[in-house]
Amino acid sequence: MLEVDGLTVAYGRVEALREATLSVGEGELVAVVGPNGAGKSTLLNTVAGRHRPRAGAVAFDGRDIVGAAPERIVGFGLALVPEGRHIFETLSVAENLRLGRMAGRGRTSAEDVRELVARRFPVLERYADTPAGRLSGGEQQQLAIARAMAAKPRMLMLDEPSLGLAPLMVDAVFELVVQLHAEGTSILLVEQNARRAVSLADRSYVLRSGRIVREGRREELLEDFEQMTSAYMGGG
Amino acid sequence: MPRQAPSALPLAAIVVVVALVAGSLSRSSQLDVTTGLVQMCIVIGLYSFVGVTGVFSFGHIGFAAVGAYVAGVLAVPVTQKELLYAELPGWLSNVELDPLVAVLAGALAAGVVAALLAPAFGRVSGLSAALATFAMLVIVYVIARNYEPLTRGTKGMLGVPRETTLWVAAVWAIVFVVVVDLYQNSRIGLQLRAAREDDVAAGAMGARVGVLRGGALILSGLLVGLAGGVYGQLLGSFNPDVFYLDLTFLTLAMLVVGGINSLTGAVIGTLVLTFLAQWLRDLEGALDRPGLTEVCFAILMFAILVLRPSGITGGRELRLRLPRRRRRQETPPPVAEVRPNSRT
Repeated sequence: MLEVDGLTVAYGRVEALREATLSVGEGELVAVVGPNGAGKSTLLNTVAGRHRPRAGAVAFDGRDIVGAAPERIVGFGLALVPEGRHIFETLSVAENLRLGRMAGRGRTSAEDVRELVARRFPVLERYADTPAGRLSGGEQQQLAIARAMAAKPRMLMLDEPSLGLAPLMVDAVFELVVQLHAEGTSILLVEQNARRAVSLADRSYVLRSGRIVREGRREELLEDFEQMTSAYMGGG
Repeated sequence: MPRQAPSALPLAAIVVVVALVAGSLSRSSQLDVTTGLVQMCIVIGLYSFVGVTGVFSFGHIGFAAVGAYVAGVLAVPVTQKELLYAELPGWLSNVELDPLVAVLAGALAAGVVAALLAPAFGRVSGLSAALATFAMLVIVYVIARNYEPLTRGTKGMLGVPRETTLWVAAVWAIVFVVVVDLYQNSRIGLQLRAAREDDVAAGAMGARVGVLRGGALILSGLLVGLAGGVYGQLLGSFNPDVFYLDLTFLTLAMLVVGGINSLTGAVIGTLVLTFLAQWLRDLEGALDRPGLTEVCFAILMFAILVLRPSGITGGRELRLRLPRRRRRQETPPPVAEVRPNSRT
């Protein structure tokens, strides 16, 4: 569904991403993990049309989307929930969701969004008229995801959804990701919380200093973690 | 999600109540309230740009001046034009429009001025935009002072028909409330308010921010121009200083005190400062301290900016509760409290 091939992105002379190649299949949940500054956000922002790559190709549904404006890419059905959420704080929850629906250019009706919120985001239903800035961090993250889902994307990209949340809220957000995946949305999840993300995802990529250094299925990578832990702890 | 009730209804009701009460007062009090309602129109027009886009403006009174002069010149009776406006270009000296038509023409003229500025406003933002609007105000002021054949310069406009009664002002205020409420909840208004928060995110959701801001400037120019024309027909005679720094300060103070991010703020701020001005002017007379009103307004605006930057209304709108809504939770719990998502 999403094919990224040899993507290189540079800020001035610094290459943040070097020849990254990865793919996400129809209905797949794929995680990209790696330390701070590895280029994870750069990857998502470039795919979403916020940066222009220096080299490489990005195809969504076989369509080349390099250089397309962010709102057109959302229109194709590929939505990004950016790091730091970027919800509109003085606007009400309902208005945030309406903006999300508008980005889908008529793919969804107000009724669809109402139904989606009732089913998957019941917390938000109660706060329809509340300014979004007054929600808790976890609720804001749910709103950011709901806003992206309001355009009924076929694929969702999530940038560090667990960042800065209380542990219980992290659970809630990850559970939401699993639910959306179970309903057939393809997901590309970027996380610093590596073990957690890898154990949710069908497949994962490890990104370090702008390069993809490892790719594997859930079991393979979890085994890596075991070995790493034992290596560090010195135990068997 | 429950549907949002419009805030235009309760605000229009407030205007009607104010007009009804004022109707039973003395002539001079009625005039003060009428002035307040016309200023409310200016403040609502100002809100439609400053509040909705988040781009500050010190120059919208320039649009009011254009509206007032154009509407005034077009409505002065031909008989008086011979006397008062001898140097008027020939085709204009024979024009005498119905006052209402003249007001609409004034709004259109202000809209044209705004349209000339609009392309530039797609590019600049923040302080640059605020200074650009101020430059526009100065240009309009200087022209009004010096282009005497049309404006009579510092001698001032005379003979403008006084059409703006208490109820005319109230009806205009209601029209402004309804139009701007529809506008701010429209697709475009919502995109502009989103861009006010985060223009990158709004752009990613499909808002063409630069173009929309230009459009917002034109709409607000039309509205403030219209309000200026109505103001001119309240005063009957006025000079360029009426539409300069004092009015700029007063209308900005009204918007800031009420709450810059809501239409309710524009309405409430105007009413509060209008009534406060009444009271302060009496005090001014009793204490023999001219200028007390302005100083108090400045201190009030300063205090609001420091203590409660979102104004009296805190950026919220007054809304009627829709009857089919049963549960209602006014405030979300504090951030520290954690409520996990219900499992399904």
